[in-house]
Amino acid sequence: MRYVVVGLHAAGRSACAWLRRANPAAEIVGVDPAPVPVYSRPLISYALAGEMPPGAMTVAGAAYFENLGVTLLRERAVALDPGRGRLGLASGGEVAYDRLLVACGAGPRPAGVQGPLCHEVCYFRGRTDLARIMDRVRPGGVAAVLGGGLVGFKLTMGLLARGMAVHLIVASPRPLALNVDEYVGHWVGKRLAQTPGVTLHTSTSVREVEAGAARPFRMRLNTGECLEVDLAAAGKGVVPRIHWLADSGLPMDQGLLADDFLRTADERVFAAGDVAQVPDMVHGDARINAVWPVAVEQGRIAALNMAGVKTAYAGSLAQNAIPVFGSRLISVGAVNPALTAGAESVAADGPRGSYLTLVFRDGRLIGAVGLDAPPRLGELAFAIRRGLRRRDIPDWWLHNPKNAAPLAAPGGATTGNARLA
Amino acid sequence: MAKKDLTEYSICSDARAMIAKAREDGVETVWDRLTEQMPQCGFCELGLSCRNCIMGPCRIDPFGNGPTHGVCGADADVIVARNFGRMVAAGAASHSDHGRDLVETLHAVAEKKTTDYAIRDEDKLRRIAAEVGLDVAGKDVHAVAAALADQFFEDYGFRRGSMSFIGRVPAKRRELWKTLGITPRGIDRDVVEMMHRTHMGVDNDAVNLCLHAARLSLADGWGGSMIATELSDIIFGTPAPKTSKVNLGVLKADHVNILVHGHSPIVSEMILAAVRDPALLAKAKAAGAAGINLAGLCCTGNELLMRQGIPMAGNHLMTELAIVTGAVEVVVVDYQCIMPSLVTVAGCYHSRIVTTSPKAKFTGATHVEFDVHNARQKAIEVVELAIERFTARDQGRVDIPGEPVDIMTGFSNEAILTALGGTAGPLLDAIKAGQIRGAVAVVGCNNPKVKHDYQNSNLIRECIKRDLLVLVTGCVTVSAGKQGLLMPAAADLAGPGLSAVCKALGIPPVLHMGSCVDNARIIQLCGLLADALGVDISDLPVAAAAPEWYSEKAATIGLYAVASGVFTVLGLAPPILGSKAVTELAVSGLEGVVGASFAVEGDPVKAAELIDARVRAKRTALGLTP
Amino acid sequence: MLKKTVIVRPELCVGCMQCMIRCAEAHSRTKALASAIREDILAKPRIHIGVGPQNKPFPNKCRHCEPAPCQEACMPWAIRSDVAEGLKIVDPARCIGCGMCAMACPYYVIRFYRDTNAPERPSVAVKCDGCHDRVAAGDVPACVDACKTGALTFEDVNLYLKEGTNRLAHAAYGVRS
Repeated sequence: MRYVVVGLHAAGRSACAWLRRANPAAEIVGVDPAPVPVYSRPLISYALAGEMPPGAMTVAGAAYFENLGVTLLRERAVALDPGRGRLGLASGGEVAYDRLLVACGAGPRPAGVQGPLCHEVCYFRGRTDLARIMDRVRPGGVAAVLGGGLVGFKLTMGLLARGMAVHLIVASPRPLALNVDEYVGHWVGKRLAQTPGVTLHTSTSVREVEAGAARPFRMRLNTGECLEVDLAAAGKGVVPRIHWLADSGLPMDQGLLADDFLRTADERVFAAGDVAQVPDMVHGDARINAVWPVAVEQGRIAALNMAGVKTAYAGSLAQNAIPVFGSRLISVGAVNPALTAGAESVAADGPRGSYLTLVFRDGRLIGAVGLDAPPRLGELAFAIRRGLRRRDIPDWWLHNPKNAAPLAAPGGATTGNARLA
Repeated sequence: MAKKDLTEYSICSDARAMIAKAREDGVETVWDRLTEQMPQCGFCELGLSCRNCIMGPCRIDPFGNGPTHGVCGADADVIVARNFGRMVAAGAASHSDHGRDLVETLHAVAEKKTTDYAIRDEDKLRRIAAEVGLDVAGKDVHAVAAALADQFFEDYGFRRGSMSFIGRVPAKRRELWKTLGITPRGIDRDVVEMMHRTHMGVDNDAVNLCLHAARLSLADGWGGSMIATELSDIIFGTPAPKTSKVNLGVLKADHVNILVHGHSPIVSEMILAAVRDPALLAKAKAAGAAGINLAGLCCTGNELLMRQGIPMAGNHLMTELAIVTGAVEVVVVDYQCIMPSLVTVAGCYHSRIVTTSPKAKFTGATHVEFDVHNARQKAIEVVELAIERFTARDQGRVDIPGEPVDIMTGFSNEAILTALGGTAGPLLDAIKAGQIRGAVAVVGCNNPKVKHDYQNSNLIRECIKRDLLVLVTGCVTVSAGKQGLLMPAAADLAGPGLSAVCKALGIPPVLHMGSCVDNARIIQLCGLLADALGVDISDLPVAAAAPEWYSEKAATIGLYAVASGVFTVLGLAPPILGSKAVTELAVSGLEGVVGASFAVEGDPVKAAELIDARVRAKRTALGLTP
Repeated sequence: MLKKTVIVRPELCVGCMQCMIRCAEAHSRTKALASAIREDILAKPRIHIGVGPQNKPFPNKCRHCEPAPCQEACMPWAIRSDVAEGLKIVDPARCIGCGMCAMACPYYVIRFYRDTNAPERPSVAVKCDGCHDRVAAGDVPACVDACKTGALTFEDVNLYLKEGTNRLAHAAYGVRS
């Protein structure tokens, strides 16, 4: 039995580990142009902010794959023939497979800028991006960050920490519009306005990048304004790497479509990670939730299914934890009631200075967002999975989220207790 | 659960033998129960739990994560201070209630309402009456007794607002107390006020609470305890040097064995009288016994030992083990320090626990209630019960370990002064010359958390090595006695200076001064020495130590020692560590307030070094050789 | 070899919080209460008594799941399976305090504090480590040691489940009349 795993990052590594556990004897082939060093891409935000030396992004030694018994092919996959069960490689070679996992991830969405120097805009997906940005970082200089989502924020916080002034250029009327509710969005906007060194431009986009006079680059904005910067970086979302699958015949949308068992239309081909478009637990449709824990979990589930252990995937759930201006912002599921039809939100009490809101639709929990809230969003994610209803979330929990017993605890809310015996 | 090696429980062979026997006989001991309780509540250990009202119970998290204030808003400092205040109140109340019973007895004698009790030391009666300012010239003994009783009744009240014995406190010290506002006012009053202050919403300042605790403890030391001691001397006789014996070997397999336990000589002296009754001796012999043997445990044992030379069977941790010998017919008790487990332990043998006080009943014990009218008669009933129990004894289960050890006892202040030739002069000379560098009171209890008698006896050894005269009371008496430290021969273990003085006077380097209320003798002695030198007690080269303390009373004694100016080393930490402020005050701040402080140190060598450093500093300040 | 784990019987919990104070003590530098409370970086409990309906107390600690959602969510791979068998242990030197583990944990047993083992970091994930060093030395976890009511015990999980089966059997066959 030969398993081939295309892409050896979050989903691919997880899959390799679980394939090996499920099948100690099988052959596992990992295909990735740069499988080592074994590092975690999301850690680039910490390295950019100076909170972590770049070397600390490496999470395992070079022997990691060897120890798992994974044969590495340092190649790019360029074609897939599901009928013949063959994977085409850039070198011209082919690999046969019994089961294949597509886990090649997503690349940054292009910034959509024109101009002679548009290629100078950096992205922020991995080590090479980080190195490129670090080359251009100038303490005391000026940077432009395109995109008001989570990556845009991580770029902004990181560049500020490096001593640069940052122009945050956001196409929407509010930053983090897609990621948080109105209250938090408003809070973030206010803090941004109060933070020295940050200039927020909303409902703005960059048209062109050309050579600057005082600084290397000049950005022409749609407002007509011009900005001279030392560095431009964009976080405008990700695009699944599916172009190489164009001739495979597998149904695709934004990403590679897969079912409740992470299987594509071909029963021998599976998908996991940022490339996979799979049922979203809350929104009821197939989406890409390009988040680390989702990729790792999908890698595990896909691997189990590939190994013949039928394991249903409950659906992906967006979840995020990011530090913003010294506070911790966390969100899970659908967090903006305005974006979800029929949703209503319920606020929990909490210690002074904390914010925690639960989002319900048709009486069932679909999301939560918190700012410096007690760290129990995982519990709420679990509650979302269980389809917990509004009436199942008791008032004593909402009134005391710092100390309340967990919702997930079996019998926690219902068992008898020695004190009342 | 795994039991420890016997040597870890106690340094005494009689204890080890009986712990082993208890295991065989299936008897649960204090050590077993301590193990069951472990680990004990961390909040309570630190003094950070409060149950004073039912808005609670509350606790403060010392790790800074949970609540920092109780429901009422009290913080760690207030909660710790309130708890400590109540501890001191309970201790003071115990000693003082003991004193109260003696005042009532004196009053009954004065009113001729009792034939069971009388004045044995009329000289002391008159001397004390004169000392406290009563005009007793030409009055008969009953009139003097009546006047003195009235005087002491007032000490318990709040009409006069002062202690009769305040004159024994050096003037400088009295002035200091006045400045601090901690002059004791009334025995019951200061206790009641502490209970009031510690109610929710009264005193919420840790320092204020601690100052009142100090005042309250002084109302015990120079009040309730001192009254108890002096009246016990007056009614039962002032102790004079004599010898006796100690350890479980004082029990006799062929005798009816009766143990007295608890505190007041009001009961134990009556038992002694009954035990000597020829009619009862005859009954005992008729039952097959060679005689009736009386021995003591703990404080009331100390009282009979000091005055009557009655031997002592053991101290606090020996009380269960004495019954485990299988040779004890009756343990007759009044109050304080009597473990309720004794009833269960007695139930494993033919033994009976007899309670005598309406204040101290034990479920399952036999209650024979004593009062001033019936005491002798009731004592006879108790002895008769013991004789009956003797017939039920299973000699096959009797094991009395070892042979008793000789001890010297009876060192009341009167006896000490007599031994010195009538004044404290020779003692002061020895101190000035540096032969006796200073004096240390090693007092207090046992605690199963530390090896039985280890810290008590070894601290004493370390002190006498350093030419420090040691004074012992309470359970430490037995710790010292069993190690031979209460005999003149122990002078060989002392430093050269102390050794020489002891040999010249024929006294041990460790003087037994009585029961725990008799710690009042020690602070009185400090007062005498301070006055003789024209200094304050805090200037004296003296210290106190309670190396194995357990009780609330010990906390009170420790505090009145410190408040009187005596540096005090505790072998176990009191439950105050949860408050940095109160802890700082106890171990250093008080130095600047009352001229003395506490230290917490269990290790005997380290504790001795702390004491030695103190003595050196005080001697140097007095212009003496360190 | 019996594989023991901490079994929680919440119905026996009286909310005394002894488990919390002894857990913190066991994870301090000096491991003795009197000195632990004076350390620069105070230790924190890894077990938490939650408050349920009618203020019923509920002892809540890490279940050392397998697979562990916290471990899957951890980007720097700071939650280790290779320190002690069957236990998921946070390596404070690798933890970046991002909070993703708490985002994934269904049981709300991960908190964030400054930890004495990584003093340079403002906060790291802190959760139950199974008291693996105590267990390796033949002792029981600190919380189990502290619990007086039997709400926390250290037992073979299979025997516990067998006990549960027996109780269910008795309940099922209990005759109501």
